Parts: sequence; structure tokens; C-alpha cells
Amino acid sequence: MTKITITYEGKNYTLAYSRESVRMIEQTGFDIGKIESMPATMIPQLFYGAFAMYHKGIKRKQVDEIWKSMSKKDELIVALVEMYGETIEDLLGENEDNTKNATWEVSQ
Amino acid sequence: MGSEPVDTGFSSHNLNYTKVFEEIFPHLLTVGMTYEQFWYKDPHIAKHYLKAMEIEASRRNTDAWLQGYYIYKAIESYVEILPAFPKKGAKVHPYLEAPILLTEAETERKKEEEKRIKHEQMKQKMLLRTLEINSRKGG
Repeated sequence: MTKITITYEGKNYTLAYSRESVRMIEQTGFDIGKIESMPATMIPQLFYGAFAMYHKGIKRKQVDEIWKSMSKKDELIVALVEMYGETIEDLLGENEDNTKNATWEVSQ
Repeated sequence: MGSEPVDTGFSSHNLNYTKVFEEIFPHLLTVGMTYEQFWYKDPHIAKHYLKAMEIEASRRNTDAWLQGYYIYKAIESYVEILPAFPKKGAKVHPYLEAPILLTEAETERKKEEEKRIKHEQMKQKMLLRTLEINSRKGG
């Protein structure tokens, strides 16, 4: 299971997706298929969903602030999309067992 | 937040993940995966349960095949007497004396047992022969 660790204002956050996180954001309108056509709507939801597994109850406003401070956003989005895909790949027989623990640095 | 298009390398197909999860989840429940594991834990746990499903399906298939084979053997044992006018000398043959050996370990055990019985029989024979010789000498 791939995880991303970020640090924001001295606090560590672990980003990962459980199937419940995926269900949660899909219920609020997230659609991975629209991430390229509607990035302004989808990417914040994708990022917010990545907090649900280890930081349940975190405020959306706070997550948005963290997002604003993130560097290398494009690479981060790609990493998040891959992590998101991990929730389904075993079920569809697509897993290549590429579990890793990615780290991410935050520029303040 | 970024409004520019981002190339994620993800093909934009309309796949509703939740729908897929909800379709597959009941199948994984049958092999013991819990609600907690499926929805809240590491998504990769599911692959072990999927493998278990495969093994279970294969086992059930082997069981069905084996059952069919036993039925076949049972019919085979009295097939000679089945016709209305059986051939002369037709008889019911005994059913399999023991279950069919499925694993190498079982075959090995059976061989060992046969060896032990043979050895025991040989010992008995030798003993009888010795007794016979002794009685001849004595008599």
C-alpha cells in the first residue's frame, strides 16, 4: 500500500486511500475519469480524500491550506491518482505489487 | 487550486469505483474477509482473499470430479450384471477397498504400510517354517 508522508507546520500527515475514502469522495461527486477535464473540482476532492484514512475528521479548510503550500503539485497529483488506483487494481486483477512508501517534502 | 489540465496518465473512462467495490465485496465475504478489512484497511489485503477464492473454487471442482469418479467406479463394479441378459459368469466386482490416494504423502504412507505388511508376513512365514523344522527334528 503506497503512502505519502507530508509535513505541514511541523505536523506529519500520512496520505493514503482505503476503499472507504474512495467511497466517501465518490459520494460527494468525485469522478476519477473527470480529473483531467475538471481538475479544479476533482483535484481538491482527491487530495481531501487522501486524508480520510489516517486523519479522519480533518477540516476541509485545513486540507485546502495544506494543498496551497504543496510543491511539485503535478507530480503529487500523479502519485495520488496511482494510490487511488491501488484500491481497485487487485479487484480487477491489475496488481503488479509495486507497494512503496513515497515521501513528499513541503515548501513553506 | 490548479485549474490547468494535468496529465495524470489516467485514461478517462467512467469507472465508478464504489460500484465495483460493492459488487465484489459480497464475494469476498464468503471467504472470510471482514467489512473492516475491505473498506477501512490496506486495499491490498483483498488479493489474498481473491487467491483464497480461487483455491476454494479449484478445491470444489476437484471434489466434484472425485465424487463423479467414485460414482463411476461404483457403477463399474456391477456393470456386468446390468444388462437384462448378462453374459455367463457376470458378477458384481467389489467396490474400491479404500479411498483413492490424492497426495504424494498419502501414496508414500500407503507404500510404507504395504512394505510393513509384507515384512510381517515374511516374518510369520519364517517363524512357521522354523516351528515346522523344529517339530520334525523333535518328532
